[in-house]
Formats: sequence, C-alpha cells, structure tokens
Amino acid sequence: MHARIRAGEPEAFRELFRDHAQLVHRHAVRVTGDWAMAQDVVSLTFLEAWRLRDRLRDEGDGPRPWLMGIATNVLRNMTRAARRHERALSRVPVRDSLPDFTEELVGRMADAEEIEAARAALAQLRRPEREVFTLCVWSGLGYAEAAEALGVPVGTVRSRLSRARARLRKLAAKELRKRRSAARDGEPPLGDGQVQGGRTDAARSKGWNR
Amino acid sequence: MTLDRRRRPEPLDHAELARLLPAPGDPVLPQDRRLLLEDHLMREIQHHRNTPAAPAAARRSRRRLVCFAVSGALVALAGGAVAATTLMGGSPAAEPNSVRCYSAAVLTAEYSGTTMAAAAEGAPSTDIAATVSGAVNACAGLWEAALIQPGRLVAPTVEPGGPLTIPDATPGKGKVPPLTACVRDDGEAAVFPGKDRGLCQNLGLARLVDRP
Repeated sequence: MHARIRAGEPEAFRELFRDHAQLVHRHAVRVTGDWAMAQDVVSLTFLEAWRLRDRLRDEGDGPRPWLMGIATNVLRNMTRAARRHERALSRVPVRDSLPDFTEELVGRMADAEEIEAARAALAQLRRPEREVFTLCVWSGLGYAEAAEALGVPVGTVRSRLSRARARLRKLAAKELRKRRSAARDGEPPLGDGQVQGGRTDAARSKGWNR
Repeated sequence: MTLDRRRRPEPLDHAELARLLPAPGDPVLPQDRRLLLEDHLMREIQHHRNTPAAPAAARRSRRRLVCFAVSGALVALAGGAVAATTLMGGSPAAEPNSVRCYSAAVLTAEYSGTTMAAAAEGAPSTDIAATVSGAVNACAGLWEAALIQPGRLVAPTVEPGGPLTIPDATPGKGKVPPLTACVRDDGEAAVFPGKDRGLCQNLGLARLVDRP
C-alpha cells in the first residue's frame, strides 16, 4: 500500500480515502465544531496527502499516522492549506449548508451540543496537549502512531497526555468544589442532569456539564 | 505498584482520560457526501496527472449556472441597486467591477457573481468592488431579493411577458444576513454571510478594504 501511494497510483488513493475519510472527518468536526469546515479539512487532507505522497515512509502498520499528521497540520493552518489548494477546493461539488434529512439534522444538533461542551473543556489545555488528547483519546491512535503523526518522540506523547490528565483533573476538582459550595449556600447546581452513559465517577463527569 | 505501571505499554488509561471530558459526539460524514468528496479527490488526482498546469479556462468550475437572460430584471428586483447581476457559479477573470456573493461562509458554497457590465442606463461607472459598502450592498440586494438563500442560490423564473418570480420567495426568506467582504487571491471581492472578525482569515482570504 505504501509503495502504491508513493507511486501516485490513483486506486491506492481511492482506498486511502475510503478507509480513512470518516476518521479524518470525525476528528475535524470534533476539533473545529464546524461541519462545513470539516468537509474542507477532509478534502484538504487528501489533497495534501497526494502532494506529499513521496514523504510516506515504510513505518508502522499503515498510512493512518501519516495521514492524521497531515490532518493535524491542515487543522493547525487551514489558511495555508486552503490557499495552496484554492482552485481544487473551488471544484468541490456544491452542497447545501444544512443536512437534507430531518434525522441527520437532529443527530447533528445533538452532536453539536456534545462537541461544543467537549471543545470548551478541551480549550483549557495547551495546543500540544490538545492535539495528543484528540488523536489518542478521541481518534484512537496508539502512542507510537500519535508520535509519528506529530513528529515527536513517544515519550513526549506520553508526557503530554499525562499533563493533560493532570490539568483536566484539577479543573474538574475545581468545578466540583464550586458546585459543593453552591449547594451549601442553597443555590441549585448549575447545568445538572447531563451525565453521560457509562460513567461511574459522577463527581468528575458532572464537572463538565454546560 | 510502580512495577505494574512500568509493565504497561501505554500507562495512561484512555477510558479514564475520555471520562475527564464530555463525550465528543459521533459526527459521521454522510454517505452521499463521502462519495462526492471521493469523486472530487479522484478527479483532482487525474487532473494533476494529466495536466499539471492546465489553463485557467479549463479549471473553471463545473458548477457554472449562467443566467444572463435575467440580469436586467434583477436590477429592478434588487431595489434599484446600481449593479446588474448575473447568477453564475464560475469566476470571471479578475474584473475590478465584479463581486462574488457567497451563500454560506465557506469557499465551496454556491455563489452569485455580480457585475457592473450590464448596469442600468445612467449608472455610475465606478466599480462596485472599490468600496466595502459597494460590494456588501450589491450582495445585500441579492439576499433581499431571495436570490441568495442560506447555503444556496435560487434561479428566478421568467414567464414570457410575465413578471419575474423567485421560487420559495416566501416572506422572511429574503432576509439580509450580516455580510463580510473579503478579497480572493485572484483579486476579486467576495462577500460572505457572517460577521466574525476572523471570517476572511479563516477562509484564507484578506479582508476587503476601500480603495484609497
């Protein structure tokens, strides 16, 4: 697969797109909170993959880390990527801004609320920590894959995640203290009732209800 | 305890980390859109392989919707705006007197081209892209006439000898959103719905400023 991508074989890129477009899209929506922009990120990521196909190395099990590294760079600087591929982007088929089906629209609205809450919380982290968190925890990359995607040593990925965890725990604890204090003063807790399924640590999970 | 940690290849538990934030949703790319984007990528790859430096004319968007016939009537619809209008999805050459009016704040959204070329008799010869207000007003006329609606363009229909009508032009659809004027790389003015300060920058464009 790697050799076919490097050789610029169109069918290899079709496979690459089919296997990874959802992953890139999901990642982009979660990072940007913007469905329209996320579709541009998908297009730009694969256009950049085509442009940079020579740089794919025979490391790891597949092209996923390489591709997610490209997606991360596109997300870091949409301006530059959009400028580079402006003409190609202008040829993307026209779409409606709103989804066609009610079911999709409702799903998107529900997702939008969750994503906004998650993004607001994530914004408390620094960019390096945020990138590692989204790649590893939300997009399921292993440490080695995230390291390859970001071009950093595995130890750095580990330490960034560790810092992210410490920071998020601290923020959650702070939120919890605020709520307890409000409850003692007889005020109703803010934004109660949005506990996610499968959580066991109510104190932590309630910390981010918004 | 310490030894256990060392043995684990990835000592930080992702599930635990995930619990520290709200769920991030499950935003799926719809199948029809995925197929369109895949088709687009394949066409771009083929395009690069065949013609690394295709002439500009060949790169024009296939989205072109030329409706020159209605341009005169649109002047009246836009409330006497100085700009005559053509509804088209393609870009003219870098004309100093043209503006792209986008239906959404993304470069891939449908847009309408507005040009002075067919301006009403007696209209001033200054170009509409010379000032921010000129560009914005030209596009505001199209929004007001409901020829541009959020995310799409609406082609008017003209009955022979009858009035020009706009499908779905129900009250409220002709609402003019806040508009922001940017400049494309080719120097053409582009007006998008939205008022975010970073709107142009997010699209990789410069903001439009008045010509000194």
